[in-house]
Amino acid sequence: MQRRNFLAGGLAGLALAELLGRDTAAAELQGVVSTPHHRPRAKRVVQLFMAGAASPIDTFDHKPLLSRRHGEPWDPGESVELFQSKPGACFGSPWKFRPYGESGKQLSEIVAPLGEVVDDIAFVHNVVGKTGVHSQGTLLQTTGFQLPGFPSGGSWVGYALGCETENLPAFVVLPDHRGLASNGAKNWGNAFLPAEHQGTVIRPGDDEPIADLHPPASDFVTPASEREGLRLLQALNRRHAQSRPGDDRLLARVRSYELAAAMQIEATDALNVSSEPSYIQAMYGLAPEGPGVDDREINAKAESEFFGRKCLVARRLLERGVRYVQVWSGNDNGHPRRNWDSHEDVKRDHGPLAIGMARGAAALIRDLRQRGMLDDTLIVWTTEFGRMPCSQGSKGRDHNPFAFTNWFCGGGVRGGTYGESDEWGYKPLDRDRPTTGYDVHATMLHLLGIDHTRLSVRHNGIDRRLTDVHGHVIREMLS
Amino acid sequence: MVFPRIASNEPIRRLPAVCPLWRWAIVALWGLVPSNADAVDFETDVAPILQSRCLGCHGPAGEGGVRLDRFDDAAETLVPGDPGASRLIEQVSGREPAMPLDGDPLSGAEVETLRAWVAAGASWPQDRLLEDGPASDLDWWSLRPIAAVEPPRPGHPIDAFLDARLEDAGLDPFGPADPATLYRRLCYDLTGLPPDPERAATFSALELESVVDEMLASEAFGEKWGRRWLDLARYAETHGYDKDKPREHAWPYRDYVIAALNDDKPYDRFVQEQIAGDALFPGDPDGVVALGFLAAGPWDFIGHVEVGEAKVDGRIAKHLDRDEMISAVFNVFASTTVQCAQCHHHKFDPVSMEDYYRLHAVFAAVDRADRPIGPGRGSDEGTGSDEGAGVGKRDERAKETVGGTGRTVFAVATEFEPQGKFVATGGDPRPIRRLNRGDIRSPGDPMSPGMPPLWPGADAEFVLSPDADEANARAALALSLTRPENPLLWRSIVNRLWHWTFGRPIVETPNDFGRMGAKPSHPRLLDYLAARLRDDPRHSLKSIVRLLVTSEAYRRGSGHDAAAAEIDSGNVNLWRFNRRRMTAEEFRDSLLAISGLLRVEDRGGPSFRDFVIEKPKHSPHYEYHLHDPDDPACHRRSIYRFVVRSQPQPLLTALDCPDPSLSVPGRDESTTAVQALAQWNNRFVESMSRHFGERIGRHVGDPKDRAADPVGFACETALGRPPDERERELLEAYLREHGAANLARVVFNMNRFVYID
Repeated sequence: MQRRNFLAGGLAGLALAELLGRDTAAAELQGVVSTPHHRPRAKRVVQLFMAGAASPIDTFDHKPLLSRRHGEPWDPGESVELFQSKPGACFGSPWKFRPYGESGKQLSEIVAPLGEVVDDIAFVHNVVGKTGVHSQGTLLQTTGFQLPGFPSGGSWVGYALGCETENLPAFVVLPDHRGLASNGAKNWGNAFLPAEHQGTVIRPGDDEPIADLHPPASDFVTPASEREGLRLLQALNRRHAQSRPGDDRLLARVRSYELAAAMQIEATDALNVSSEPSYIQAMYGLAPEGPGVDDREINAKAESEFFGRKCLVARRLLERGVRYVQVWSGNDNGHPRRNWDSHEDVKRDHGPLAIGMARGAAALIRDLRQRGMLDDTLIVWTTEFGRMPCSQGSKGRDHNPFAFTNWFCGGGVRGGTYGESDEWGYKPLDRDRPTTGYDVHATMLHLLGIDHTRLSVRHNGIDRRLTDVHGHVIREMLS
Repeated sequence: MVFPRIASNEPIRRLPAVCPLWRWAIVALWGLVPSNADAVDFETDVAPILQSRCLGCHGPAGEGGVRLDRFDDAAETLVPGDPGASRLIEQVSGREPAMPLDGDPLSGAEVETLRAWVAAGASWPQDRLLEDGPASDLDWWSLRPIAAVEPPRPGHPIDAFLDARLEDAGLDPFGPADPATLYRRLCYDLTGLPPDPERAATFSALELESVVDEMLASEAFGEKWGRRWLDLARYAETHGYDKDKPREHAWPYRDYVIAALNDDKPYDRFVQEQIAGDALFPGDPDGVVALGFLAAGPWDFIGHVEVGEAKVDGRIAKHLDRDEMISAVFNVFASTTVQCAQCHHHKFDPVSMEDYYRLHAVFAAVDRADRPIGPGRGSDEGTGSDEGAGVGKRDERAKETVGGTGRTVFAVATEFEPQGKFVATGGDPRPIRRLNRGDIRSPGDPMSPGMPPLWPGADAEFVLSPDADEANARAALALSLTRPENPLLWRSIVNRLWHWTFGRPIVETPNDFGRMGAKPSHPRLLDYLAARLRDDPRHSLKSIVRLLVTSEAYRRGSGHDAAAAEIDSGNVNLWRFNRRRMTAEEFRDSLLAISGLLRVEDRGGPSFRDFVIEKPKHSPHYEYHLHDPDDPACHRRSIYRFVVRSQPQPLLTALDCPDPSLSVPGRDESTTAVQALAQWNNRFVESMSRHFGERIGRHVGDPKDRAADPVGFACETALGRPPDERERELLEAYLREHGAANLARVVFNMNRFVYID
């Protein structure tokens, strides 16, 4: 039985009548912040997460001194405690940098595709973490806390603002198809927020991109049993609800099956990347072979296909009203390495990963702009920490939680550089004025019209916020 | 003015050392400025602001070289008579004030008070040293002694309390539920399983007490209520964090919880065992297995094994690990949020930072690790004593199934095989210091074991003999917490029992009875129950549950009454029973039971895994979609499921099975499209529909044969009652057209099935 057949007659058939009878545009699901705290500049967010810790000094944060001192002993003038190793020699980036855009921002050749949009990007090179441990660092960026048990930023945003569509979840996660990053689903968990605010996982290119979207292979489910079974179910459940007045949950459950039907249509449509013109597919770096592209050895073509496809799906989800999309590049720390944790060989892993990321991200920025959506869509690029200016072994870099890069683009953001690292890329240039993950979250919420100090939920005696008790909006960055 | 100005964006803590000459000048100036006592009073207006908002960092800790607790130091930030030139004022005012660094800005009124005080000369009584004491005292409902309360009228004590309130509110209680509804409710609430159709058909409210006793005595009771306890205990069988490795020996704690509830272990003993069973009950295997509670939460493998405590990151991991343990103990057993005192004194409850770090000292020697259960019942040593035979049986079973892993439990330990940089303490507590602002890099005074004095007469510091070992500190904590004088222990647990019986608690925040939590809706009833449990020599939880479910309030219908809803739409007064949805586990267990597949006698031992592990060596991938739902090894009750942190089970998660990294007092009930998709399309539901369909199919026969009633069988089996006429008509038509398996799939998605009236 082909799955497609169900679309004609299954949940979808059930819902069509309902859908036609309603003004879907008016059916916005409200969040708790029904009146913005101030004028919002962005309506939706894409978080691009580089799992494993992406190196700023090989991508966006040019450090010529490292190349000049390459191979010489590295002495930052203080004792350095590394995660895995003892500090090695100065390690100049294996890639060339050159200026791009009117600003002349220096970018490495492995992120060259972003050169075209570099003037729209706001770089922050002095982000500091609290730890060099992947799991804690990742949680800090996704949930604002170092330990599990706190809601993801996407959950907070969905909770605050609701969704612009009923037919798709407010918060969608596109994980790396090769495995989940550190902490797995904790990075998009709702924790103590209501369960509907957990991120919904979609795996573009997978045989079953959304769990349970369609009936499983079955020797008894047929299109007719599907269609009539749902009709019967809805009739029985409506009767049940009518005989039990005063309980909204019962009709809500009837309605949830109609929304499920709408989701089958809408999600299937959103994932139908083949309907995009070929020049768009090419812009995002999709491979002719599709998701089956050969990646037995890590290579730029495959990485472009993987990340580009997720970026393109992200755009299609945002167009359809999804509030927050989290896109992952890189999996867990299994081997062979398919993430940014380049202890062994920066060149081998960062090269393909960065080119794939830059192609997809640049395409996303250009595509949103040409559709008039960049003005109210915020892109936040992040990772759990950075990498050291010195070598580990001879070709790798150890963790650097003392200074790393985040960047913003789109809704309400002015391009430029806000926060520099020191000449090594080791610590913030002004050590007393670093940028924290809290500041990044505060700024994101600010752009969405939310005062981060006023979005809180009481849990176990504490009014919890995404920004804990910290966070300052990076005001210089606001356009 | 002589005082140096400093750029406004520079934080106060980097104030340069003031030249002694200037300091002299200010002190000299002080005396010259007339004080204006009418405007602002130091003691009543200014000191409380400094104490509550500044001294957490700028007290004796002197963060950034600034102290605001004594005159000489505070003077460095003040220019008497000139607020505009005073660093203190500048730091706390403006649109985004630099201070407090870790908290909400001061209110406008607070800033104005400080400003007026400085303008009036910033008078500071001579030698007045401010102390950063917790703002709060014991004058709060949950900290007062449990009141001696008698029910306000004769009859069932629960109804006596509730009815008096209903009358006061002008509410008429709803009539009793019909027997089939009541029976189904009892089955799910007490055993978590669907009703036996034959018993449901004949059940009468007159036999309520004997049926309740039967259910309380069944093993299914512990399996249902154990699941609730494991939610609280944040129990899972992987470490979480990075790599998320499996915990092969976590399950003995799960079996301990089930057995303890089934055996109706006295509540104080149940608590004592979970904190210090090894020290308090040496030789009793339960005393070791119960320590699985402390270890049940997430554990940072990388932070402990690969980084280690020689590095700052490793010490942070260890600190967070203890914090998680301490929080669990106090949130679960005392409904107190001690974790709020990590960076400053608790802002609302009587928990100081010292109290909090004393708790760190209690747990300073233990780590989460595999630990031998020790000689005991039913083991190779075969001591075979009668008491605790339950554990013995489970041990035997474990030996048969997995070659004796039942001899080990994942618990807290001071001896274990070193693993990378993770090395046992051997019982020597790590030195614990008060951490200023909770920062590992800013240690303060050394701390010795103790706990917050949460009731009058409680000791903050434990008196331990000089040769005491680390377990003595945990034993002191366990004994302290379980004292009859601790009002929190008893109130906390009876509130949970009420919550799990009536669907909503008396105190809406079961893990927080502090000033940030809710107040009880029925305080006298709560105290009556708390005292009853405390004064019961057996401290029997079952006896409280029995009391609750034999009340009229429990037997009420869950229907609608417009007049009552007008007065009390939230049903705070329990004028009707609260309808609830099945939990995720009840849904799964019901499908298995109704399909005839549930291996109900297959109890205890290693957990079943409804996933396939790929890439087990480094970071295991837990792949649920690769697992065959027809695999009989998984046709066990959901409490025996292997619970993974990083990759939660998709179907159960869609049905509100919560994050096992949190202590969860009660389940959410969300209703989403994703949930509808899961219930309709999940492979497990499809599989169970096929099996239930086969059972239904056996009842299909000659339509003239009255005994051949497949729809009647389906409804009685799944819903605990026969179909009504219309249901029968619709379901029979569908059955004829699409067969029994499709019928089963519809039934499993019916509101009548998933809601319990």
